[in-house]
Amino acid sequence: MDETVKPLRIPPQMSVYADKYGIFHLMQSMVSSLVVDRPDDPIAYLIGFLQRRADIPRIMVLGPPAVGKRTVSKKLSVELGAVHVTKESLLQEQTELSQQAREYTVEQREVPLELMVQIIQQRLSEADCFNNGWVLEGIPETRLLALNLQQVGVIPEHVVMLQASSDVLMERRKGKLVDPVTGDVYHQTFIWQVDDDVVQRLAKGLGLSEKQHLAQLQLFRCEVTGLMSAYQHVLKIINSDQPHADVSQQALAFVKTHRRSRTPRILLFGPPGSGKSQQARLLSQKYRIVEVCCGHLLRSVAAEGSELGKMIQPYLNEGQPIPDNLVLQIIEQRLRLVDCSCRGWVMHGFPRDLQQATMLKETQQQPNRVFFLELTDDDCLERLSKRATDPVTGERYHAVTRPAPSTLIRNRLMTRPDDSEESVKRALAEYRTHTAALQSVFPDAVRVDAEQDPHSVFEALESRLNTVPLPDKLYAP
Amino acid sequence: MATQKEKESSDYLKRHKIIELMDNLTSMLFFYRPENPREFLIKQLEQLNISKQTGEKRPNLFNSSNLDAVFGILDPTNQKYITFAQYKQALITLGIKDINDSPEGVDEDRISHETFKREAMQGLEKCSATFEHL
Repeated sequence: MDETVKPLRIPPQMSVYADKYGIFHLMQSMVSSLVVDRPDDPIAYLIGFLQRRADIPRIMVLGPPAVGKRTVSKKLSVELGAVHVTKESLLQEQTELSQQAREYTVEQREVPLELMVQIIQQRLSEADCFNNGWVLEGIPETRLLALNLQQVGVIPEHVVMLQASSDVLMERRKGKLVDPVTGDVYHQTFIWQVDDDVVQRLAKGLGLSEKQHLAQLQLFRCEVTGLMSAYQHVLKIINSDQPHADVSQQALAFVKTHRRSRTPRILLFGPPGSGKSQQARLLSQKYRIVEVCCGHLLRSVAAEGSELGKMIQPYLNEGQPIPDNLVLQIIEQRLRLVDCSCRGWVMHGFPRDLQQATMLKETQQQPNRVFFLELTDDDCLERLSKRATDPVTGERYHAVTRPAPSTLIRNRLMTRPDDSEESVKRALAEYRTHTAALQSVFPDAVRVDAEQDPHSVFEALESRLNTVPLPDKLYAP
Repeated sequence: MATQKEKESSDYLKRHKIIELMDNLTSMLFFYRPENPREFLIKQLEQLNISKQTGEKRPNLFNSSNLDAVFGILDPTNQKYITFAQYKQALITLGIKDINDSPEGVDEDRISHETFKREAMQGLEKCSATFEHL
């Protein structure tokens, strides 16, 4: 065959490398910042871009008045080394634009939208915000402002929306104390300052009057849906009616996770009956990734009658376990095909024990997301013993939770020999002995409660597919 | 319907050959797999910047010996020439976009080793000149 027209194979090392260093995200952010800023000399611009610190925080903290935006923003900006920007701080800038805006506020008029956009854009492109990132507190207040900001390239990576009921907000407003020197907010009951010097100078009532508070609350309630839809991809809603340290902690945990697009390489573990194959099917349908079921794969390779197939046929006939190295060879061959390397895969039924797991980890086909579906033995038995398969369509039914739709189908249902109580118990015991070892091989694995209905389990899996907790060292100053 | 902004952005990307630049940078990253990708990219971009000013050698994955190897694959019996179809396919595989459709020897369907190398080198040079031509 002519070498130049040979089908292209993507070396598996590439995707491992891309995952390790977040290459796709790096490239993506390079192009997106080029498009936003459109510099005349893109090459010099990119060099500057690469020299800056990675993953600059770009955060917005939104919420109704007195919900605790100041406290959370302060905490976030200190932890991440980012610049804390508030509406007041914007208006106090010594620039011409802020000067203009101050004139409006003196006359108690609304600052025009275009001016506000310009001020925010100018402030965020200054060196400190540009290099260290920013936390915008209470900005934008309206969906219109949000969209206008988006147009000029002010795009947050995380938006934290704090929420609490009106009663809670009123309660907070009453006890609100402001430190006139630092601008820190304290509260008579919720956040009490221990330092005597600070207590002395705390001033009450610097905040809003009740009428203003209600007006602002009203405005927020009108805008909240629009704001949420404008930022739905990066939004996290946190209930603020809990101790402020907890709220800040949740916000911090959220801004430290980053969405990364990558080729999914998923491994599903779970006792028999925990819904591995169903979840794998759902994942493969929604994300167009390749489902690899070890059992099916082995049988189809055997049926093909290839060299390897002939080698494993006798084991399948006898019902004997196939030697690890043969299974691994078959799995590797399958995962190396172009469909798996381009679209990603979700595998279950392999590895079964420590030995196989370590072997898989040594190949270049490592999973980048591992899930353990958790279910008690009784539930597994309950699910499997009443399970039956339609030999015509391959659909699976369950006597209690998913009965066959017609008598015709019910009469032809078959129960797999593996689903007898005895073999399920054996398989369960087998699974339980190896679980601890498997979990030790994949310390980053996520555990999902599989007792919920399949779609809740699916949602739980989905929500963990693309978020990657960032290692802390990236944020160290 | 593309909005004005979208059009401006795509014009920008085209004018500065950003997509080609990104393609080149990504292939280089995956080929060398450096420990510090950011530093590596900075180096490549600096080299590109220099070549833009002086016209010197641009960052490129292939060198003359690679092209010899490609030719060797196409010409296993060492006849010193390949067919036009082979020539074209080889250049496409190397990632070259605008291929010279009438290289020396196209009439006899015999493309010599030297012509192949010259055309390939020119094509690769063009591909890696990912900046606006002044």
